[in-house]
Amino acid sequence: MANAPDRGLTDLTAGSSVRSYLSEMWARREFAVVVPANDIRVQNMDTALGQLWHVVNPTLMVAVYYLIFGVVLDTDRGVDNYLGFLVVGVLLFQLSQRIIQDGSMVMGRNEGLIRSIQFPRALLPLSTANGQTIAFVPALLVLIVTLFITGETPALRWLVLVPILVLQYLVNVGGALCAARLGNGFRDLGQILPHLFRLLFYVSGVIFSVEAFVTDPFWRQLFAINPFYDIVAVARWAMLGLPVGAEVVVGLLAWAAALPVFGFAYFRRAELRYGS
Amino acid sequence: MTPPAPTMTLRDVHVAYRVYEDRQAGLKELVAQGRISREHRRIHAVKGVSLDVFEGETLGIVGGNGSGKSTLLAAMTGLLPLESGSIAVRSRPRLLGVSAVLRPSLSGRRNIVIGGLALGLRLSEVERRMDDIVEFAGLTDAIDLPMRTYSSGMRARLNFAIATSTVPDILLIDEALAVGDEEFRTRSEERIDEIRARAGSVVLVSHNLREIEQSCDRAVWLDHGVLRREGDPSEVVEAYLADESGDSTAAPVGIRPHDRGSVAATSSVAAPTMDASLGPRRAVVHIGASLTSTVAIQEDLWSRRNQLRAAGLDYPSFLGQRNHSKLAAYASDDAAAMLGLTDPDARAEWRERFAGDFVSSSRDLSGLVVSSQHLCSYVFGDDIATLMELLSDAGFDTIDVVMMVPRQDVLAASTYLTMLRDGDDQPFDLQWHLDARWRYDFEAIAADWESSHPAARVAVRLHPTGPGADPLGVFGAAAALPVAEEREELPSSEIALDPKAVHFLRDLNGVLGRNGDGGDDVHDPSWLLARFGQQARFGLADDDARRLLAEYAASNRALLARVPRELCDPDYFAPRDLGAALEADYDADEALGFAAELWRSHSLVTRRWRRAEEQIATSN
Repeated sequence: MANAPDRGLTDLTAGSSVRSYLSEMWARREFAVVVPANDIRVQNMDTALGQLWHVVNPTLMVAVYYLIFGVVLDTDRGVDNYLGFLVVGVLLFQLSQRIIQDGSMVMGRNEGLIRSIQFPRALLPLSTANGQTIAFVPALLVLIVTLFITGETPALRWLVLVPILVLQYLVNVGGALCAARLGNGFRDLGQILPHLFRLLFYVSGVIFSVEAFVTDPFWRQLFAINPFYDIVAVARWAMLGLPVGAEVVVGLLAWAAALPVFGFAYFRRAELRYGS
Repeated sequence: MTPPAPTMTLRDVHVAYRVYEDRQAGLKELVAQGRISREHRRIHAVKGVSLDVFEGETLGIVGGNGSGKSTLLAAMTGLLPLESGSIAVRSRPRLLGVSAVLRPSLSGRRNIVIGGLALGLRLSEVERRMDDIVEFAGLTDAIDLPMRTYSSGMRARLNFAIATSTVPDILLIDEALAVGDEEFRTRSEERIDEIRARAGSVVLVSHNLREIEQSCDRAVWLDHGVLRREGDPSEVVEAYLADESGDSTAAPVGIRPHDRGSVAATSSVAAPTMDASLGPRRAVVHIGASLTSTVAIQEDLWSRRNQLRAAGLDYPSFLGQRNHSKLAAYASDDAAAMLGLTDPDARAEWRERFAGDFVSSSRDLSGLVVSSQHLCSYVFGDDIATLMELLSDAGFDTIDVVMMVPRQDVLAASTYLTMLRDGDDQPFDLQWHLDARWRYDFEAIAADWESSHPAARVAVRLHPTGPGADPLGVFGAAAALPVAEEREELPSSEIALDPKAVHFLRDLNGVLGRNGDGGDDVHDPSWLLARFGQQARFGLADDDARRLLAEYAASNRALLARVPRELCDPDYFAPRDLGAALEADYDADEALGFAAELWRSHSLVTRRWRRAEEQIATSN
């Protein structure tokens, strides 16, 4: 038998470079869109309303919030259009929560696939983010309709929501990558995350206006460290014209730049451990 | 001439993986001791394998269950990290099969897209190949229906068609190339040949030794993670078989320890060696329809060898260890083929040698018990006369043939199952079944046999089916063996059912039975669950299926309660992929419970046999 590997053979287990990893991900980009899009379809396939649920679900949610905060409690908590305020916050926050929670379970759910086919594993958390983002489109329509109904007039400002969603997508992908690696080694994470997000829900100003309660600039800056607060606050500026501090915008940009890079590097370091 | 270039080289490859202990135990511990110990067992599956695979070559890997074949194949894909050593490749090898990514709720067409993308094809490429794949899978009419409505054959065809729509440079194939009906099998074999022609190299792992011999250029034999032999496929297969059936492992191929000449020469020698003081020599043969050939009866006999010996009867290992497959191969062409003896000349030579071997080896035995899975599956009709002739030549003057037959409903169910598997969707016709007398009229068959040989005494016994059944007890009683009635009876809940129900249960059960000796080929719960999703195919209502499973699980639990905890092996409890199964259309929690129960009892019972066998081996 021959001695050392030679004649143009490459070491199978040697890790690939970041560049070739990314180019392989790019070559398989269609997988990361088509497969999650189909999985989203499957979700409501056996129900009577079928794909309509993607619209009905956020609509019902808005209706419930309207019932509780608009009719029963009749409170505005220092905000003019409280229903619009609430809907922007809840829908955007939920999008991130779904993606990151799902990310923590995606490696376990796809064990069979991981064990049978070789592909860049980072495609799996990315697929999760893509799937939930696709499913968010109908909710976005509900959001805009709700803003109309609650008396907001469309402004050019609304267009800024598009880059905001792009930045949020980057934060979500980074979060899903981190959660995927953590959840792979520690399956209990799937049980812990819902509680963590419940906590984040309250400190991200989803249901109350931080500006109305927190006036000290130091504490406001501390809130800006929370990426979910940044997302919600900047989106409310775009959609409702509520004031937003510069530190919040900077915070969102920083998270959107840093988290995907960190998440990718962190996730990839365990590339060979997934599925085993 | 330049030597062929290697496409893959393995150097001193070690693969080990960890299996966590039963999670449930961990939780109990948490309550009891306030901590979870994350203990795991390390399985060293591949131990220092060095190997080259060359351009244009098909390499076969043979080895028993748990020999590390599948692990080695997984390591070749780069999916399993190596403990040490190296694997160098010309391009990344790929395993044949995409079932892990397919979604039961989606249509066949969408699954082709998903599967193709998973294999690394572009969307446009998949769409270009769509018609070919649909046509090849033979699913033109059903392609837009959800995949969960497909029969298992249709799913297998779809999986195969997608997996072979793109050919990698180095292709790895794990078992079962041919799926589906005869026609599809032919087409898939052609497709595989085509792949072989186009691929740089093919590595094939299979239990079908004939397939290894026919389609490989070279073979290696992997034994407990170590390469035992490498070379010409038929030589490797022969060496592997010789070892499996209990011959001296040290003997090189071609030289046998018991090579004693022809039947004609030895039969005349054998008769005079009979010792009158031993009394009449008796052979007891267990035979029957293949449904009754449970491994349990052979395991039981093996574990009671000492008892049998005390009564002047031996259950010998020279017929092929616990499973007397060599005797079956002697009598039946089909059984011989299962051992890889397909060439008529080679088989004739082998038979002659075996007959001589048998006569000389059994010379000192006053009595003999024969039981074999293969005897039950293959030996029928004229074969039994061949068998009696041999026993007679060896000087056994009383031949007790105990034919174990299953209940008629079980038999009918089995016939129906075979029809369904072959894609025949006709309703089961009982009259057609009864018209073929050989399918059920065992008394008549027994009478034929009895008249065929003066020494034969044939008894037909109903094989008890269902939980708590004791096949060895029935066999022992019929043959007057000193093995019956030692163990207490389990609470029997024999279920009187229509053929559909029986066959549904058997189908579930068969999964466990087929791989009775564990190893890396034991199916995981998801496989069982997938079966559970098919109750509609058997015409069973959901409630009935659920009730049956509940009863089945309860009797398993009763069995489980009798097995000492320390005999269980935790690495059998490691959960495998449940993702795909959970998407199927049934109450997953409930089914999971049943599957877990089945899984557990199976592992524990297997362990129990193993332990008993070891105890006997050490006390000998």
